[in-house]
Amino acid sequence: MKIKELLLFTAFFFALTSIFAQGTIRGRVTDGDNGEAMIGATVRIFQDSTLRGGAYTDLEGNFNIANVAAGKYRLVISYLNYLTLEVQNIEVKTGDIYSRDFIMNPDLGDEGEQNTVVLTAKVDNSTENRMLVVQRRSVNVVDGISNQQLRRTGDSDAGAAVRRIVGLTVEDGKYIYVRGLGDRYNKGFLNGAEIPGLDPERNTIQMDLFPTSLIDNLTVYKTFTPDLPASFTGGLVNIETRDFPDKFTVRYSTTLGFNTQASLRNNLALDQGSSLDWLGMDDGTRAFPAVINQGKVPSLSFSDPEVAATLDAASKSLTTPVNPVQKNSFLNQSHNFSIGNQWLVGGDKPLGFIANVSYRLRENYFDRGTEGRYHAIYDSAAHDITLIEDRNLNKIEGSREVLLGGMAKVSFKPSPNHKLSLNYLRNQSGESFAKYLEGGIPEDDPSLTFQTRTVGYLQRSINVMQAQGDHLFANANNFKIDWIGSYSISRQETPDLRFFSNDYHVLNGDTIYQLQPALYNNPSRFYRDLQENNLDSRVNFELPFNQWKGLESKLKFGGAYTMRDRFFRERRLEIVNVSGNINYNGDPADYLSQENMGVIGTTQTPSGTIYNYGNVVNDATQARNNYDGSQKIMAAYAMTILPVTPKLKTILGARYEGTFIHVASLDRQLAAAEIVAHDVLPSVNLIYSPRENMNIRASVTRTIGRPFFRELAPFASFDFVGDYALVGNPNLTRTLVDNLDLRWEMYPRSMEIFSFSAFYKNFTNPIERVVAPSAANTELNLRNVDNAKLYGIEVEFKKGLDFIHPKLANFRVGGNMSLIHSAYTIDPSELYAIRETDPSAKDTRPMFGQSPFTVNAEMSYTNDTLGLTSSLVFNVFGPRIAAVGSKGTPNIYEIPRNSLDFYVSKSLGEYWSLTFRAQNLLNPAFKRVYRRDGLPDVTFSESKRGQIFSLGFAYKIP
Amino acid sequence: MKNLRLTLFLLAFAGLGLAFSGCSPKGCTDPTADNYDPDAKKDDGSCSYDGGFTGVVTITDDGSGIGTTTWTKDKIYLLDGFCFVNDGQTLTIEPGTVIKGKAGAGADASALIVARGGTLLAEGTASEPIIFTAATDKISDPNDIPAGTNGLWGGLIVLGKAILNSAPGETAIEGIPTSEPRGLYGGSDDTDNSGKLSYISIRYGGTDIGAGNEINGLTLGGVGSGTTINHIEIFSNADDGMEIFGGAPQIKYIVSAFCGDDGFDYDEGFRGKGQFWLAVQGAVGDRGGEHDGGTSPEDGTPYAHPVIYNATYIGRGAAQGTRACTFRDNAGGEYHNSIWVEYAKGIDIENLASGEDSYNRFNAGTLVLENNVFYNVAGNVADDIFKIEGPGSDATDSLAAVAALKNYFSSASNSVADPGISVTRTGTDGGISSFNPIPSNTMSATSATDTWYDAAAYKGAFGTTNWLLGWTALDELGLVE
Repeated sequence: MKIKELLLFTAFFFALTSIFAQGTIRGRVTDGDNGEAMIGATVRIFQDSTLRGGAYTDLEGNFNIANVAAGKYRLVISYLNYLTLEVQNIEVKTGDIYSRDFIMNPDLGDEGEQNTVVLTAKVDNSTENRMLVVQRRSVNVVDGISNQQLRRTGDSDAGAAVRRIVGLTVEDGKYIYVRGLGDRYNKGFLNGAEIPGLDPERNTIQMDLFPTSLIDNLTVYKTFTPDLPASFTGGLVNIETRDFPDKFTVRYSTTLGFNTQASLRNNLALDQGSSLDWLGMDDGTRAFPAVINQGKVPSLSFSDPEVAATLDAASKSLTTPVNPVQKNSFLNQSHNFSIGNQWLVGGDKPLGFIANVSYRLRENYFDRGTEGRYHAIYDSAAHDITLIEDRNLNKIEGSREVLLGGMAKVSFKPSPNHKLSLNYLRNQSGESFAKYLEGGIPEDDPSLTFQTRTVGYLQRSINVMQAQGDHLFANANNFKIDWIGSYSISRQETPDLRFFSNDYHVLNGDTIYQLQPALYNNPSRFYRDLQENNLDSRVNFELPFNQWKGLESKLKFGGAYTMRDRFFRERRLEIVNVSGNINYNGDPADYLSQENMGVIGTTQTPSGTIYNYGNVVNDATQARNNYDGSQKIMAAYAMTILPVTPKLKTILGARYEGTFIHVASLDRQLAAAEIVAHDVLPSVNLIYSPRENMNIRASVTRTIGRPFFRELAPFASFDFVGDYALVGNPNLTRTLVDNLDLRWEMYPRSMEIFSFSAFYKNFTNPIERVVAPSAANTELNLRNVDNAKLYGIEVEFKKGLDFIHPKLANFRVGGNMSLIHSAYTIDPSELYAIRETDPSAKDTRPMFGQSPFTVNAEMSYTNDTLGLTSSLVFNVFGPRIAAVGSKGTPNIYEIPRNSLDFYVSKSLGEYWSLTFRAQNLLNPAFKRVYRRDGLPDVTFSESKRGQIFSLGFAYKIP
Repeated sequence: MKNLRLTLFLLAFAGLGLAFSGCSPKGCTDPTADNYDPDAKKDDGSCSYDGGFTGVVTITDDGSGIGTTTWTKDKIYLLDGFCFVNDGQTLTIEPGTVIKGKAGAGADASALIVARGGTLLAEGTASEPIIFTAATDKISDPNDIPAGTNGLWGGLIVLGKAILNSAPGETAIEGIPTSEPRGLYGGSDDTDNSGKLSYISIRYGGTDIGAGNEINGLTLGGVGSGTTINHIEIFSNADDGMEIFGGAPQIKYIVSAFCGDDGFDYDEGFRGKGQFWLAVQGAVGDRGGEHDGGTSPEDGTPYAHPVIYNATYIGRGAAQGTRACTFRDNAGGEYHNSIWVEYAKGIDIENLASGEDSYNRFNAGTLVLENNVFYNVAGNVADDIFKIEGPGSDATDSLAAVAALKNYFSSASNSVADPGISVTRTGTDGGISSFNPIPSNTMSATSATDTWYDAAAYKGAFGTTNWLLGWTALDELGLVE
């Protein structure tokens, strides 16, 4: 109740401040020639031919004409050698703000004659068009999504949205692959500054942390220019958060979604939960037991009363359930509130803010999943390998995920040529999950049925503080400086991750349950905590000049310093059965009941009291599994953007990057990783524009791929979930990549594009996950392999359908497709081990996670008169390696799935709109298989996630 | 300088004076000792540990190994972490020496590892065995660890240069990452010599070193026939008693008692010899013998083909559902003159569609089960004792295999008969309070012709003398009748 009142009051207050002003006309003008802000254009308003007011656009191309009396006006925007824009009949009401975006194009007509383009007064949201202009005029190959497109596809977060970009695939809704390259080869930026990823096994940011309501646009850079960090080879995704609006704005939306598998159940499998789960955080229920505290659990002693008491208390302190808890589920929901406004301080200095709070809850469930594990043997009769089943399990999995996010951004323009912004963003998310698997383990013992449970909670938070500034010095030849300082603190905790496994068999009609630590792990609990602090500071200088023929050119130079510190800690507790005679009836809760834990009795012997233990906690914490990492990158660059002729532009330059990485395990006996490298990375780009709406681009660049902390940390993590032990390698070095890019692109009309690209990348010493041939159990190593090559093509188009029939003017289609090939040569010793089982095995394999093709297609309908927007979006990716096969076992591929989403939105009057969305309509199986040419696929894992139907409403002012 | 010496002298003198004056009582100042005197200010070297040892030496390894050294019986040696006898080093252990392993799991596990090229000379005697046990085990007190306890420390691992059948012929021992080169074993010398091991009792080991991975009591990785191994006891280990990875070690008089997994396990092409092997399984444990051929690839050669005479395997009882032995993945092997009692299931031999299986070895004549006795195994139904597991290449093959094995049971002079091995169980879980491995019904047999084997005109690991007496934990704890 209180919150509601506060919101109402705030809304009223902001509304009031607007009412006191007279009418205002605001806008943003973009240069159609380069997609940048149009600075210093003259904006005037007339009634008939009487000048009523005017302004110049500032360094962002924004203008503001205040104190406009109510009435109808004619707006004229002019700039030398550009087509003048004219808008008739703009209606200004008292207390209202008219705002609109414009694109000004160069006037290529006869000299001396000012040509004018007349626009209608009706506002068309031209952000998507602006995106295309940015794309067309950018010096490097970029692809992007505007907030307008986001609204049309209805994607709820950045992870869903980036799938629409050519050459992009998204794993698990979170991690991006650009042109088939994952993790190490991509970068995530927020407002032009780096932000850390949260998963210790990964390097890039989880894209689903950012709701689309926060996003102004998403840009993916695919070629390197010296003003960008050199550590991306696939793509650099920049999420630009929304800037303050032209006038007072409130937006509110609520969406409820029904997942056909997860919603409205009474048996959603989760962990037991805590009172703060609804806010995305644990309330301490899952904390490391206080009685054990930070000290090590003492090892077993049968005679020492002190040890016995400590062990007893520690063992009895582990009380959270290890079995999945069945909970009621409701509906998926998301709520969003944002507010923004701007004022003029001191008469003409805009001060604006935008703030956003969002809340999201999602539930997922499936109960017909399967997991199969096989190994290959050579079948001499068939002259080929055959797969032997090790495990075949049915799987039930449930999760409930809460994301609470907030952002506030304040910007101030002390003069039209200077802008300062402060931005704060916080995301808090928590996911309660449970998995239950049951089935045969024939390789261990065909008569046994194996049961295993994983229960836990994953909590993530990220805080980002950014300060940035843009400065234009008009009297210094339009010299420009922009800078950003960004500090982020992120944390990922997995408190109380619980595992419990057992088996059973039926003998003479009795079901006999037992735990066999020789076959699988003892019951255990993990507590993981990852913290990362990240400082990123960048400054860019830009000096325009005219080349010898007088063509506009630019010199850019600048520097960057980024620093990243990570701390990873893991505690492991194992429950060991000491007495050997716990009667186990199949219920883990009974097995771990208080009377079975710790000291269960004493025996008097001639030499004193002997303590008898039931199940006791054993401290299995490994010093080697804890590590600290630090990374410093220093960079400086210089480049020119220089047209040789009006049709041929060159972008030449180089960037220096100094890399300093240190990763040390807390086990000081293990070697620390140390990387010091100094690289000069050249970039040569040519843009030839034979026609105004056509570009041919070519570039040759060199980029870097760096190993990340987890890969350098010298420990082996034995994981249940992933079955393989991953062993870090402190001797890894960075990868150098030579890139060659070609692109032809055409922009037939506003909002339309055709493009065709080809690319080739040559990796020197790429880091790949390889199977260690001499390991007893399957162990994945990271190694710099000799060389890898990747090449491919991309096509993209966006087209209105009015060329078929004018009545189809509201329909648009778009699509893109990538075909990619990659290969690296398998390490000789690994290949030897593979061919011992499979003599026909190939000596190359595709790079990890790389799809041979991706396809995106979209059809949309937009009718402004009816306020109706609708779209049908399709996405599919080609089979990609999810895990490398061990010793002749085929590689595991994630196989294609067709994803189809439908979205429709209808505005109801000025303030309200309704949305309906249907996601994952085809409900394809998420499936991984053992795959090799000439052999039938064998399922590794399979599950379906259900369709989601959501209904939402939104309210907005204006 | 002169002043400093003078000062030291005076201080020393004053100290002596104090000591003699009786203001500062002498005694044992180590709180971990048996005779710790809290009032003592000055140690007089009288500390006594665990019933008479004069000191505890903690052994750690920073990568340079233990070195060439001798461990003496007056001290206790406490292993802290993985301690290696490196290539070129020789560790000699006197009879009667006690080695204890600190508790710890994973990378913190304590174990003694003889790396390839290292030598272990550990020859105890029947009256003075060498004991490997947990740090918490007081040798002087037989009652201090309750029955069934295991996994308190790691184990003893011996690695050699003998031949494996896995690719690439060199493997990292379970639980040690490949980044530790001293954990690798295997090579080309089947006669490799890793030293001498006799009268050794290994107790309460088998701590967890990774997912589903415990250290075996005694692990032999690529050990060659030049190594002497006899009179070994593995008592209450969490994993297998002994696991042999390839190579050709020759082992006489070994007992695996009350271990958490299999009694004896072999893998990766073991081609050695064995005689007088006893497995006894109580409240925990799986198969008497788990015998694998190749792991990667499964058709790797040389195929496993050990020849074992005079084994006695005592199972957990018919109610616990465990198997006597399993042969699979192209494992061959021979058991002669042996006894299996108290198993729910008999000996299974894998027969796969691919043909890469132990039935293949049976047909090739390198899987031999001759002159053995079974009692209370597979319900005493002779036809059920040798079993085929797996579908075979087709129904004909499958039926033929089943029939061949049924026929083989009697044609190879195997029988169902009661050898009269007495086992007293404590309850329903198979727990054993005492047993007598000497058959009361004499089962005569013909000795092996190979002179490595001792003449033994009986079946099973025991004739009339009980070689367990005097040096084993089984005897010490009164488990042997």
